[in-house]
Amino acid sequence: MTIAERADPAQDIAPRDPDRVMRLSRMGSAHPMRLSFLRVLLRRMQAEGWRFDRPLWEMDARGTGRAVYRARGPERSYCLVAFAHDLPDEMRSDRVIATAWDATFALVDGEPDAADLDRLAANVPLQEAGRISAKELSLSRANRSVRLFSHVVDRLAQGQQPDRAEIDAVGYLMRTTAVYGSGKFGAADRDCIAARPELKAPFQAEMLSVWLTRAFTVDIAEHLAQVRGGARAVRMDRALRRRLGVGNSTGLGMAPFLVRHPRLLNNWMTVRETALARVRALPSADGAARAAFRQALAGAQENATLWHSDHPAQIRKLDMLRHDLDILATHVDHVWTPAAPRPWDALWRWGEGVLSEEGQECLLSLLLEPHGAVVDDLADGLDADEETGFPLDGSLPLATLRAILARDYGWVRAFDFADPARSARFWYVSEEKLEPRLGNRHEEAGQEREQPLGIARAIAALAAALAAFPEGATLAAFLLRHPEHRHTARRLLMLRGLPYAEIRDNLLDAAMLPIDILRCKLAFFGATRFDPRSDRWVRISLFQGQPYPDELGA
Amino acid sequence: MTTAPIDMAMSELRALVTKAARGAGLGWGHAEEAGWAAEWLARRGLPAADWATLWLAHFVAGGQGPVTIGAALADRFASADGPLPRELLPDDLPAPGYLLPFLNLIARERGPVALCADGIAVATVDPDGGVAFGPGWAQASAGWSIAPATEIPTTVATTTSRALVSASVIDCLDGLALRTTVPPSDASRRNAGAASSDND
Repeated sequence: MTIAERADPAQDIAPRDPDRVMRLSRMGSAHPMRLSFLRVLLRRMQAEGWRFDRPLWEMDARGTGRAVYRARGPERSYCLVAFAHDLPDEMRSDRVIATAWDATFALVDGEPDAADLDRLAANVPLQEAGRISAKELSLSRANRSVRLFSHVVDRLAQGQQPDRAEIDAVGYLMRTTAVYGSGKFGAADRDCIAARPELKAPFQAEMLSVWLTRAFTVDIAEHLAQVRGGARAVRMDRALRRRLGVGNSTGLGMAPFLVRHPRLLNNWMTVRETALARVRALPSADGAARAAFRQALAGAQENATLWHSDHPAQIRKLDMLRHDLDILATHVDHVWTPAAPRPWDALWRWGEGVLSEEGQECLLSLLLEPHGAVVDDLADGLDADEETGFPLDGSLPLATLRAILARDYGWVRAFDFADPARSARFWYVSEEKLEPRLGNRHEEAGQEREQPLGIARAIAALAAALAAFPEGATLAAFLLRHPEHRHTARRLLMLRGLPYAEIRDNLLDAAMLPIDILRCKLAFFGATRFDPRSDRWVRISLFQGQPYPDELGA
Repeated sequence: MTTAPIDMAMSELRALVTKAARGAGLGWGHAEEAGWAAEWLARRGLPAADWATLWLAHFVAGGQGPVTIGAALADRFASADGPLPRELLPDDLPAPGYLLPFLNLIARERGPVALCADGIAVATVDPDGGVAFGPGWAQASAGWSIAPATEIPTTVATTTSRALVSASVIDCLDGLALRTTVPPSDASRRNAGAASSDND
């Protein structure tokens, strides 16, 4: 049992109710926080004194070639191998159907030799059409932000710094369009590396890959500027450089993850909610914590100003966030009484009564920010053993399943699946690119090949079948008669006692917004500047404002 | 011409077999057990993907498969008390080695289990997941049953963290997995992502 799965006995303020936390609209208002995966990675590397260098840089005048970025920790090294390409504009697509990219990458476990580099050169640029090996931990690619990349190269080549407003308007030189890990396309399995302290938390290899990619995006722009400008060219100002992250463009491919990894979702949420409860339970707010909170709030206000989106739903949420942060600042400066008992709890309860979901979830992040000493140890509980409970116990009386249904799945009763609108969508995998898609059940073909992501409907069907089965029967007898419920019965048993494992909403509903699922996962990654391009496609930024390898440890 | 086998991650093999099993017509619950069993077997150096191809073809043709049989056995016997009775299995059982992961679930609760052909143990699974094959394994083809293991045969399977699978077997599994996908349509392409250009 991990930290995230056990109750904190000293805690007298309970974590929030999952019926409140696990709704899509609230999950779709999640903000990055100090327990987000990229923050966990950066803290560890800083604390352990990791060293970084670039042992290989072979780029020609067109900016094509290969590079290696090395990260050396106390016990092991990891290397990002980067391949830079010359991509015509007409081939640039963020979608998974793309076959060429501006740059492609693999994160190597250890240090690649010449044969590894040649092997990777033959495979990594092909991405899904190539193969990597047990020696690699991730496979990824990135496309340029054409406008900002050109602007930065032009300015640096002329000996000038890029325009800050241009940088802030985009926020990245390149955006990754997929980062594959955990056994995909032949990469090392997660269980081969999960015992390493530096890779124990989720997605640490992927985050390391993206962080080193960020350094590459600046290096390649400076390289092209130097080629073009010669002696006139300059390197980018460090303060400006900090304002750049790595963009990420993400579609429906990411959405099923949280449904398929419920134990992981439970642990992420439990960690976050436990952290909030711990901070709320603090008896006082000292001056340093108050100052750090106020600084974080000012940073959030600036971020909300720079955060742009053209999507109507996100524009509304941004308006609410900006408004909420303004009234939060006013409240903190003029009304909040930090000398009162449990001042952080008082602030939280005020926020719950006044702020929108967007503002409340932002307040959660802000409350954690000054309290690393109180919450950072919880990061040990972010991972999960997802095999626990996989085998079914056929001897279980059906009364046990009925009891779990009554206790953990009461939220399903809110959905009337006799109404076609409640099952208007279906999740499927496209034959064309083997990617998850969302169809309209009553208008499109293919629902017989539906993916099992409509948990609420499946639970409702299981409950109906159980209700019609003899009272004293066993699970084995039930599943022999009803093999169609085997998947759902296993899920229900595997997740018993895990309060945050299920998204307590209907993923088949006509009004469901997939971007809510994406935002929750991306916030746990540590993503900022969530910018939907549709209700199922989003751009974000990673590591914006964070240090570069040459700043963290040279 | 023969091509080199593909070096697969265990999770990759498991995902592929799960999809192939679903594509062959198993329910999602049994399909995920097919994938789980494939990984269990492959970690012991056994030809999980080859066996999966064999029994899935049989299943598609209307026959039974070791996953539905194995899962039913585990449901009945993995948590029951008392000595394991001898349980007869269908004769037309393709890839009987695919039963071994399910027999391990029984062995965990009730001690070593033997897979028998004509009453003679040809493979044994112990509670820790060790697998051993007797001399009759290669020739065994009918008269299947399971029973408590009384003798431990001689050949012990090795353990590994990668699966080497022939390209032709992967093609077969990919073909079945494709049956879980939906062919493209104007709507599916239209709804796949952003409407705007990526050259910005």
